[in-house]
Parts: sequence; C-alpha cells; structure tokens
Amino acid sequence: MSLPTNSSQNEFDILKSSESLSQPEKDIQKLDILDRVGQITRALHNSLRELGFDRALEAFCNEVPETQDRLSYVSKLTDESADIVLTAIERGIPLQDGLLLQAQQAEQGTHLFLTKKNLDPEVRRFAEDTLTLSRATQATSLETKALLLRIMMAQDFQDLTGQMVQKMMQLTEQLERQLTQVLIEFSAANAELGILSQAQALQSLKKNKKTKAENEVVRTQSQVDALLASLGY
Amino acid sequence: MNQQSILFPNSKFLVVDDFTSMRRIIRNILKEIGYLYVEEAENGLVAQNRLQTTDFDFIICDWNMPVMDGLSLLNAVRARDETKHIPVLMVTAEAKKENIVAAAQAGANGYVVKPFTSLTLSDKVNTIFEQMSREDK
Repeated sequence: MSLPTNSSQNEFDILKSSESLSQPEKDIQKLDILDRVGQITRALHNSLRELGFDRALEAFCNEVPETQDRLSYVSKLTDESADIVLTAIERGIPLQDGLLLQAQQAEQGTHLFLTKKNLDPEVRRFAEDTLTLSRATQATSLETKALLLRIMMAQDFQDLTGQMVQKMMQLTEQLERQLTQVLIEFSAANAELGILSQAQALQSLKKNKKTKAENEVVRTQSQVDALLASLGY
Repeated sequence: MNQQSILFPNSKFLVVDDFTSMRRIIRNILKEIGYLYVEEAENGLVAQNRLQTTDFDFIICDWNMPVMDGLSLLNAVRARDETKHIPVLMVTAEAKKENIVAAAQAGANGYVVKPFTSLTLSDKVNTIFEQMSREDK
C-alpha cells in the first residue's frame, strides 16, 4: 500500500475541511478546484505540444483505422480458409466411407470366391492379390479418414483467433475514440492560444485519413488489374 | 470414435456457436459418433426461438456470442418447463474458474474448454447421456 503523497494529502484535507463550510464557500472552493484542473490541463497540453507528442498522437490516430482494416482482413482470410478446408473435409470423409465400404465388400466377395475348389492357379493368385489390395485399401481409408478428422479439428483455430481479433478490434476502436478526443481537446486548448482551431484539427484529421485511403494496399489480383486499368495500362 | 457406443442414436442436437467453422466441426464430430440430426444456431436468441418450435434432446453451446450469450441461453432453457430437462454442454474458450462455476450453478451438464479433441467431446456427450439414462431408471 502506498502512502498518501503531499498533494493527495492536501486534497484530502481540503475535502475534509469542506464539510464544515457554508454553501457559498463550497461554491467558491469548487471554482478553485476547477481552476486548478484547468491549469493542469493547460500545462499538460503545453508539454504535449513542446515535446511534439501532438503530432505523434495524430499520426497514431491515423494508423488505428488501418490496423483495424488489417485485423479485419486477417479475420476474413482465416474464416475463408477454414471454410475451404472444412468443405473439402466434408466432401472427403463420405468418399473415404464409400471406399471403405467397397473394399469391405470386395474382401468378402473375394474371400468367398477363394473357397471354391479347382480354381485355376493364375485366377487364384489374382484373387489373392485382390484380397490383399482390398484389405490394404480399408486400412489406408481408415487412416486417411483419421487424418481428415485431425485436419478438421485443427480448424478450431479460426474460432479462437477470431475471438482474439474481435477483442483487439474493439480495443483499438476504443483507443482511437479516446485518442481522437484527446486530440480534439488539445486542439481546443491550442485554439485558445491562437494556434489551431478545433475545426482545423478535425479537418486535419479528415485530410490525413483521405491521404491514408489513397495509400491503401491492393490485396488481390483483380484489384491490381482494376487499378492498372484505371490508370490506362 | 465409435458409432456402436451411443445410447440414443435418434437424439436431436442443437449446436449454438457464433463461428460457422466451430458449428461445422461439432456437427461433423456428432455425425462421426452416430448422431445425424443436428441443427445450428449462431447465437442464444436464435437458439431460443428454435427451441420453441422443435424438441431437442441435447444442446451444445458456446459462451461468448453476440446478441445473447451462452449463459443467458442456459438460464432461459432452465427457466422454461418445456426445455428445463434438456442437457446442456458448454463448449467454450472461457476457461476461467468463475465461468465454470457460474455455468455449473446455472445448471450446465458439462463444460468443455476449447481447443478440444473429438474424443473429449464424444466422451462428454456419451457421459451426459449415460447419467440421464441412470437417472431415468
């Protein structure tokens, strides 16, 4: 547990002593506190500007939507990949089931055939080879099916990573909102100092977003072709 | 996985998960075990509506879902006379102790943490059916 600092002790004392104050005195005290908060905020804004953090904040705010786009792209791609794999597996498993059944029937039929007497030696050898093949097919089919099921189970990554990506997108959205608010408030303080108006600050953010949109990455061949076509190539 | 070990092969399952891939994985596992009647719902509310029109014998439910989460669905299932007897297996990435306790207190019959194996899921389903079968006797 940390000990109270001088300032927090002072605030504690102020609050404590305020209990015995009259209403007008309390109002004056509230104004004093608001004035102090204003001074601290102003000092913080000045420090941010002097250190160049305002620009860094603005640049960071502009990066956030791109980060969200990228996360959304990861989510979309993993979803599509899992869908392709699951569709292939759902097609592959019945094929293996069918092959297994056919091989079992072939084994039974060949086994019955081999019980016949006076079979031509060459035919017998051929039937024995068929029997071996049908047994091997059954074993391979079962193993392939087990492997397909393992691949299917591995697709659960899409659910787990998808949930993480969704949480990260929510967090970045929240962060962007809060940082934009800080920037707007910062700009309002600057406007009071005659540096930059709030409207100018919003305009600057929008302008940067437009520039970012122009710098968007093309991700598919059709997008590349469309872009080249639009440029006359 | 073994189709011979299942107790109630004609059981109707409702799989509730917001991720299509997870619903498909669970459906395919159930199919492999031998349960062929499986319906899907993408959140608790859709599941709740489905439960009003169809009699299900088993619910497999995710925890985190938009619109209505798994715990709310579990509470709703237990609150209705028509559905309170249906076994509910929670299949979720929420591995926090408090969530497991909350699910148990709300009346979940089992809890499987993602990622899981097909064997774990089939074992849980079969165990719950066995318990129900013993309780019926």
